[in-house]
Amino acid sequence: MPEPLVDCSRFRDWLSPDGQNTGGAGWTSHLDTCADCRAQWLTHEVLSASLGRLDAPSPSPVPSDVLNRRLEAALPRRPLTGWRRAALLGYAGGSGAALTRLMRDVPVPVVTLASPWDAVAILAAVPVTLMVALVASRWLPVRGRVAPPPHLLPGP
Amino acid sequence: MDDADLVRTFQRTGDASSFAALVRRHERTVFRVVLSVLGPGQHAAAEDLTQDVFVKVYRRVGQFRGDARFSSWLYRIAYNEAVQYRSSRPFRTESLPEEVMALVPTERPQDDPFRAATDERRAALVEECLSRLPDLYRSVLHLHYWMGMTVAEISDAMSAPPGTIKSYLHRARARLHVLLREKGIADA
Repeated sequence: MPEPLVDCSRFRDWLSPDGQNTGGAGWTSHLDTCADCRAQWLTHEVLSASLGRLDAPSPSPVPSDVLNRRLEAALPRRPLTGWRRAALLGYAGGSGAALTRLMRDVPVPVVTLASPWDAVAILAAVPVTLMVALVASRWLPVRGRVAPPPHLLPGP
Repeated sequence: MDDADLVRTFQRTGDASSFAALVRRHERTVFRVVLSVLGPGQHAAAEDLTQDVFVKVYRRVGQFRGDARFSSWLYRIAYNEAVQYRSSRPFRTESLPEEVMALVPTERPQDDPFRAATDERRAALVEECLSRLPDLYRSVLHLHYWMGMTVAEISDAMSAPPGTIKSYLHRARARLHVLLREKGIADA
């Protein structure tokens, strides 16, 4: 019995079934006459032989603690808003006023060979207290989205 | 709950279990999409990239408006991350040294060693040809022939209609055929 004629689009459907095309008989004679489909068929065979023998890969389950650490690191840093901004502005204003008053009362230069540590203390006070203020203000409430809890993903 | 509900819940409340459910639901497909771009032998890199994708999604999920499906948005990010990763590194196949491979038991120990070596060489040539294809074509071929995904599954993972995926497969096979012929494979 002669094989039914198969056109290129039907052959393409047969080659890449999507779950609905199960028929495939009758394309042998088509391959003899169609170079394009023959090339498709040969490549299909090569790919099936070389890639089909490999195991279908699956990811190792992502350890929850690993992904948690990475997600925590991805959390946005606390913005300078709300009470935190108010506290730091207050600190800047207060320290500026204090320094202005201090410099007005203390004669220049303040550095003397007799007591160089006074100058060092004054110079260090500004960055040190600023760092302390920044760290302390992390616990002040901010408006906006509530940060997610530390453990984003439940453990195994 | 579907994806849209989980995303909305996470956006509104920061509920950890919602994001965890999204990760568990999609990590396998994200991994496959990433690996389909990188190719065989890149499992470790694909796993790292899969995590990178979820970290990126976590950062950006506030921008997701729900105009498209969440999975489409996620898989698109995964594909783009993989393409970017691959383009930033020269392609190389990672395989074990021959002396180590010799110690690995095969499923069919009675097989002809010459045949096995030929198959190995042939597979390496095929992979080399695949690596020269555009990312999209290489990805759909890997998803279909290596990971055994149907057109419908690839359509879902690549966020493209099934007809488009069939067209990609057709064009990919045609271009690969030319490369294989240059290597003396599929030349009949």
